[in-house]
Amino acid sequence: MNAIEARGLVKSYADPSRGVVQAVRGIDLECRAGEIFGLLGPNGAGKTTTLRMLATILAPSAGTARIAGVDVVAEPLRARQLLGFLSGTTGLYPRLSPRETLEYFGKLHGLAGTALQARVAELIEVFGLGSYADGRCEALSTGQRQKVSIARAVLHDPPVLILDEPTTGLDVLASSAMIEFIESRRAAGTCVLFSTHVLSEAERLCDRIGVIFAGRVLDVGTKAELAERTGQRWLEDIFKELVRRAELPDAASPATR
Amino acid sequence: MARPAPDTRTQFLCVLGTELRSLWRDRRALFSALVLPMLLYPLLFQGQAWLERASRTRLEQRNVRVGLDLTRAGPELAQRLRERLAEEGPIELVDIDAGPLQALEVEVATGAPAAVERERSAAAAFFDTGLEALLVAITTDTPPFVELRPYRDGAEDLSNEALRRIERARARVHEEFTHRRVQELLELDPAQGLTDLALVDVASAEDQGGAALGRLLPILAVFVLLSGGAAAALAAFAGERESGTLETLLVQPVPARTIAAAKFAAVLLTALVTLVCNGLSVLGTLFFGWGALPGLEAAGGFAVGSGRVLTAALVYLPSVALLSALLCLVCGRARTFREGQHLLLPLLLLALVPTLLATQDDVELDLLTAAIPLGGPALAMRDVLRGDVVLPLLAWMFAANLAWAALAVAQVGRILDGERVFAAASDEHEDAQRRVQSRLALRWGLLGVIAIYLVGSTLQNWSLALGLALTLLALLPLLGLLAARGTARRARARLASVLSLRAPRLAHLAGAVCLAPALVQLTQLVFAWQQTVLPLPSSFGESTMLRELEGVGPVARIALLALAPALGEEFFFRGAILAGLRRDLAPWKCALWQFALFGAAHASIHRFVPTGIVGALLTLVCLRTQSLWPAVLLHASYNSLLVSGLAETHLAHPAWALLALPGAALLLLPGAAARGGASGELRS
Repeated sequence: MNAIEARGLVKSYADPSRGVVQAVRGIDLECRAGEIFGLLGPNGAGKTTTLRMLATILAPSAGTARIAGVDVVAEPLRARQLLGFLSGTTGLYPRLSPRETLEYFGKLHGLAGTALQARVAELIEVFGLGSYADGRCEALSTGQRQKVSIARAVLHDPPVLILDEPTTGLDVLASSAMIEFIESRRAAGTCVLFSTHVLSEAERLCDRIGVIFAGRVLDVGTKAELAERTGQRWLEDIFKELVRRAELPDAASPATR
Repeated sequence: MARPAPDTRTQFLCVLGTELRSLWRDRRALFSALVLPMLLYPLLFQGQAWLERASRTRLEQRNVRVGLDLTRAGPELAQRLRERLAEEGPIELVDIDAGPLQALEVEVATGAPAAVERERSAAAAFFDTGLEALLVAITTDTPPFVELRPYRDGAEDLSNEALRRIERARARVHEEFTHRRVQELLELDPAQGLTDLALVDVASAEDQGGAALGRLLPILAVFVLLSGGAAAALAAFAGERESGTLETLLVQPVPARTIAAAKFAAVLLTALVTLVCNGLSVLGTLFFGWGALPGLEAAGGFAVGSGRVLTAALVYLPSVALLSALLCLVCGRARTFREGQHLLLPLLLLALVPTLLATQDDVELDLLTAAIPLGGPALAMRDVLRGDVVLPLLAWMFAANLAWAALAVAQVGRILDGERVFAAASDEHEDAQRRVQSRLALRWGLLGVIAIYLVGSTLQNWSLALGLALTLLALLPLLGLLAARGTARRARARLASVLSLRAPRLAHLAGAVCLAPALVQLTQLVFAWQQTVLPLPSSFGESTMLRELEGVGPVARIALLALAPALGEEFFFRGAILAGLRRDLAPWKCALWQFALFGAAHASIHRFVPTGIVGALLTLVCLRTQSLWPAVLLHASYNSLLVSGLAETHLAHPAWALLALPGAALLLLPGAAARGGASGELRS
């Protein structure tokens, strides 16, 4: 069973000034446990919409998606118990402390009593939040907030992590810490699906890469496989070649691996 | 990690607790929304009373110059009036010759506006000599054949003070003469005298106090609920969306409805606490005598019992729930905190409209009015406070308004749907750019309404005809041009195109004319129905613009009241403002905003709904035809039918409304742009 599985995902919506817009036009994805899968594409490609459908925030207009075998449309609440979600725009409650934030989300996941306290204490220790665990989140630095957000996302020890451009707005150190965290999830057997438009992140982290453009996945594979199929060496050139092929009048349907 | 499935009740309490905790820790918002108003009530009442006393004392000590011509009143009456006037504070009595005023009496008695205007001018000539008021005895053709007529300059405080002194003196003289005449008729001994009339009010002190409080409390409750509840609603919805915590919350294994219900509960609790605290502050201020309600200044102490106050609060609970739900809906739609704040003022105005029913003494709580959302509870609160309790009616009001509240609360459960929260795939910056046109258009619209209230009304008070012309043909077009210029620049389009000034189809023009009789009948129907719940004051029909402009010729009257509004108002509302709105909003939303702006621009609660309907319909005509001119023609035709009186005579028959069918059919034909005409503008 795949950790994440999507078949023919489509997302359309009506805009008063632009009419019907198809943000995602039929995406197929398979991500395995213990794998880091990168969704690589420019702004407006449909990455965020795809991840939001997988995270059950948006309902697909068509297609199916499963998180650890649970249908996200039929059983969204159960699917949310199995995934952790973090995006570049995720915020924290300014007037709660990190400890209170973790306790809050822990309760929403059904943790209570000593189990909740123990888990919160464990996360505070693991992520080094001890020195500011009881101060208000509005007083934290960007890096500190990021750590609290990560702790919140893994609080319930989900088998799947979905990260939407997690390094957006972070400085070098914070960005590096995020990359290290993602790498650490591989060893823990967690499936990590993250989106990015930063090629270096994709090159360093991903076991496999899905190139997404204009709402479609153009190709999926390891960097070596993509390089071989496109005849290009660098990820940037691979991306450009795949887009060029997609824009040809008689382009074949995108490959799925 | 094995754990039990989350319990919805626990999740609800968890979200509610977090919302309240966050609110409690926002001390600044709590202080400004909750504590500060409580502190201000005693200051407000005390300050108002002090200012009134100070102003009255200052005026009573000032010398006033009153012109007198009492030659036609008889020597005894004239002498008595002079004596009593001299006793009314510092006063200088100046003899004048009011012959010019007497000469106009025959014409003035006909009520002709032109004659009234000449009388006003003749009297004003006396004021130009430094007099604050006049008291003139005028002989008339009807009993009592001599009339004591005071004149004043209502715009001057000192003139109003002079009039008060004249009124007091006149009342004393009248009483003396009445007493003497009654004694003569009853052959009473003058030495014994008559007892004075002593007013006996059968209303108890509690009823009197309750009646006064009942006129104030519903209005105050709306302000308080919205200000207190807004702090919670903005933080819970728009604020969380802006800060990025809403997305995180929606990914938790909690049903969106549970989250929305908990947030609604937080808003409701906050609104209730605000209402209770502010209410206690007001009642405490009145109870301890730090202030008095209008009409009860002379009464000794505030005497409304706690039982009535509690019952009044209880009957108002459905409105509390409804307003809290409306706050959630409004703030839930806002993308940012600031956008939510902007939406609060329209919500306040909308909430005040039905609540104002409680201030109308001739509006009773009955089966129909009890069912009006916000209006029914306001009337019930008023009646309970003044001691008029009809239990079955109250029960019906409670049930009906609870149903309205339940309907609104049900909608709250849907606003945290991910589709609504994250509808567009584009980023927030792009969305903000796209919606800037409609936001700016609404600001210009509000500015236009305020300009009509302030500048337009000042011009019309100065000169009705000229003021109307300047407002409609200069002020509104100027504001419209400024608004449209910005829209055209942002859309990179020609100004004429933005204003929809393209040539219309003849079919559309014909359709617009056909629609006019039906529109007149529709608004008259709405007006008639409205009077069952909001009766017109007796003075409403007495001095309409038509009567006041009788001195102006018929052609000029049609131009002023039919053509000028059609041109000026359409240029501004359906030209400039709609140009911005239609770039971002669906047609029905454009029509709704035009309903509100156009209705508000006519500055009358009685005209709000009928003119709002006209505004909405003109919007749809403009959007459909993609040209401003059919809307101008429809507006001009509508006004012409009313001004000319044809709506009440030749076109009064309901059959004329059937013209709406071919009219609508003609208007539904495609517009000029849809037939391949150049639009002249790019998509922004």
